[in-house]
Order: sequence, then structure tokens, then C-alpha cells
Amino acid sequence: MRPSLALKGIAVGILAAGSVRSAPVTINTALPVGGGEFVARGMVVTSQSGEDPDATDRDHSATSLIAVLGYGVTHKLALFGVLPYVDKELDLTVAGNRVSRTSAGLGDASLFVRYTLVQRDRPGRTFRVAPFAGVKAPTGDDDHRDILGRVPPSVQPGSGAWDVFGGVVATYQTFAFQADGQMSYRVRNKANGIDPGDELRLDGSLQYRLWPRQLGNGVPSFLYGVLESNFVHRDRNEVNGSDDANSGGTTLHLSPGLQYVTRRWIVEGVVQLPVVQNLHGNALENDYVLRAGFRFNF
Amino acid sequence: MKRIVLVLIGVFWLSLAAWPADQEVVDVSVSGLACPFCAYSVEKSLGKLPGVDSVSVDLAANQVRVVMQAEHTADLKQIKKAIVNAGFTPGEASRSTAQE
Repeated sequence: MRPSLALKGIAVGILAAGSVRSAPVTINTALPVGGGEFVARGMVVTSQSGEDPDATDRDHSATSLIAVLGYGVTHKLALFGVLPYVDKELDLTVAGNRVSRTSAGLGDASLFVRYTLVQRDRPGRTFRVAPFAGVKAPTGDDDHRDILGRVPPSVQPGSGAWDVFGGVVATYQTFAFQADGQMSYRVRNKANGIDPGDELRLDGSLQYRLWPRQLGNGVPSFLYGVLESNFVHRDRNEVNGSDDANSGGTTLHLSPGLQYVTRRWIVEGVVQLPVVQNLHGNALENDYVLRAGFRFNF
Repeated sequence: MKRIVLVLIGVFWLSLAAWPADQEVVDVSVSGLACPFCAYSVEKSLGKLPGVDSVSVDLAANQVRVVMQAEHTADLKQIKKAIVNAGFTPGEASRSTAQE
């Protein structure tokens, strides 16, 4: 069983879902959602994996539209809901013929909470630490079929399993820059005879204000340059009780991008480029992930 | 003569109606506020308070200005509570008046 780069991209999107503030693009933030306040986020995530050394010459692509709604239960406790729509395609050569396996539909929804444990505010700056925990529900189809039969797990819209995840995010924000660090762990549970390996993530983000160089009166809009890093380690999958030699491994992505922040909305985009991919066996390596989105405060 | 008196009374009342009313203004320093998106949360939270006419944030000065409607008095405790509810830390507050 090969790791699904598409699912990995969606997982990154879901872990970024709490980042509905002016904040990192690929991960959470510890900045607040005000009590009784709603914030929304929409993202498009496109993942491409190809250049397969294997004889099957696999080419995997996935596009996800991810909708996120955040609600501040109090100024310290926030609740987030995430619903992805996924469109996946795996092209490969089977018995000399090129075949295409596809699926599209709602993916697995997630719900998680975040609590601000540490809040140190000073004029023009803040430091916050917020643990978070949540569940991913198997709302996506995990038995999708095309004319060739049941599509492989990497093409299914859903995983078929309830997963749990948790972690902690720390944020330091000033007028000039913002730095975020996140550590998280995801327990991925068994479904359809496959027990996917658990996932450990270490992420970092730096946003530097490029414009305006000098702050004027009132509330000016900000243009940030963004650089993020995503370290992911996945254990091997187990299939019918045995380790899958072509699954799991370690990756590191670097993500440069831009973010434009106004009082009520944000637009942003990054490209996630793989710099390290130590994947087991013939697992398919990622070429890039494109991520663009908006956030809205209403 | 009677007509002139009536005109003068009319002018007097009109001038009273046009006279600008005083509005209370509260300036509060806020800590932890460092981006435009966060500023809107503070504006929203304060704007929901009864009697508030307008709210404006000066990010670089770390200041929030709350202008009350005429005939309404600012409740500093409620204003600070609204800032806390938005996720930030209120500091010193000062009152003044402005003409509508």
C-alpha cells in the first residue's frame, strides 16, 4: 500500500484550518477568535506527484476545496469545523495499457477545539500558546468504484476511519513579523483492512511585513512575505497485520508565498516544495503542492 | 412687530436644533493587537455595546477610540470587557467629549 500524497495534502489543509486569523498558511495559529465571533476560510490545494521510478509510471494528482468555519466559544476557546471536497486522479500503466483511476466527492470532515493556555500581551506584540485536539470523521466515500472496480485507497475521497489528532501551536506576533511553531500527532485508525501509520508533524512559519514599510494612522493593510516548513514523519501502514514496505517515511517541505491582510479579509498563496523525501520502498514522491485561499471575518 | 418676534423665536429654535450635541469619547490602550485582521475583531466587539456610535483603531499607537452616541455615557468596565472578549488586553482609558 502506497502513501497517498493527496491525503497528505488534505491533512495539511485540515491542520491549517485553525489558522483563520492573519497567520500561517499551512498550519494553525494561536491567535484568538473573539468570543461569539465567526471566521471563515476557503482554500484550494493542488497536489502533484509523478516521476515514478516504478514500471507502473504512476502519476497522482489531487485538488481539494476546503471550507473552514471557526467559532469563538470564548476568547480562549475556539471550535473549528473543516469540510473538504476532493477530486483525485491516479494514472498508471497496467499490463502495457495506460489507465486512469478517478474519484470526486466530499472528503472526511474534521472537528477540533483549541484553547489558549498562555497569553502574554504587550503594546504591538503578543505571545500565545494553544493546545488543540480533534477528530476526523469518515464522511467521505471509502468504497468509490469506477469501470475498473474499486479505486485504490489513495484515490478514495475518504479513509473510512475515525482519526484523532492533537498538538500545540505557539505564536509570536509583532507589527513587523509573526513566527509560529506547531507540533502535532495524528492517530490514523484501521479501515478496510488497512491500518495506516500514525503521523508526527513539526511545522514552522515566518511572516515578514513587506508593505507598508512604515505604519501610518488607523488600520493599514499588510502585505506579508511568507516562508513555512513542514516536517512530516509517517509510520508504515499495516495491511492484514503485515507492514507495507512501500509506505511511510519522512518528508520536509519548504513553502514560500505571499499573504495580503486587510481588516476584514485575507488572500494568500504558497507553493510547497519538497526538499527532503525519505520514503520507504517505491512510495511515490511529491513534486509540489499549490495552496491558495482567502479568509473572511464576519 | 408680532411677526418679527415670531421670526426671532423660530430662528432661536432652529439654531437650538442645529446646535451640535456633545458626544463622549473614550480612548483605550490595547496590548496584543498587531495585525489588521485582529483590529476588526476589536471593532466588532466594541461596536455591539449599547450606545456606541463608532469605533476606530490606531494600530501603530496601540489605541482604540470609542465614540458614544449623544446622550449615552460610556461604561469603561463594559468597554474593557469587550476588548478582553475579542482576545486582547485593555490598558489605560481616558474620557473626553467631542461635538457631533
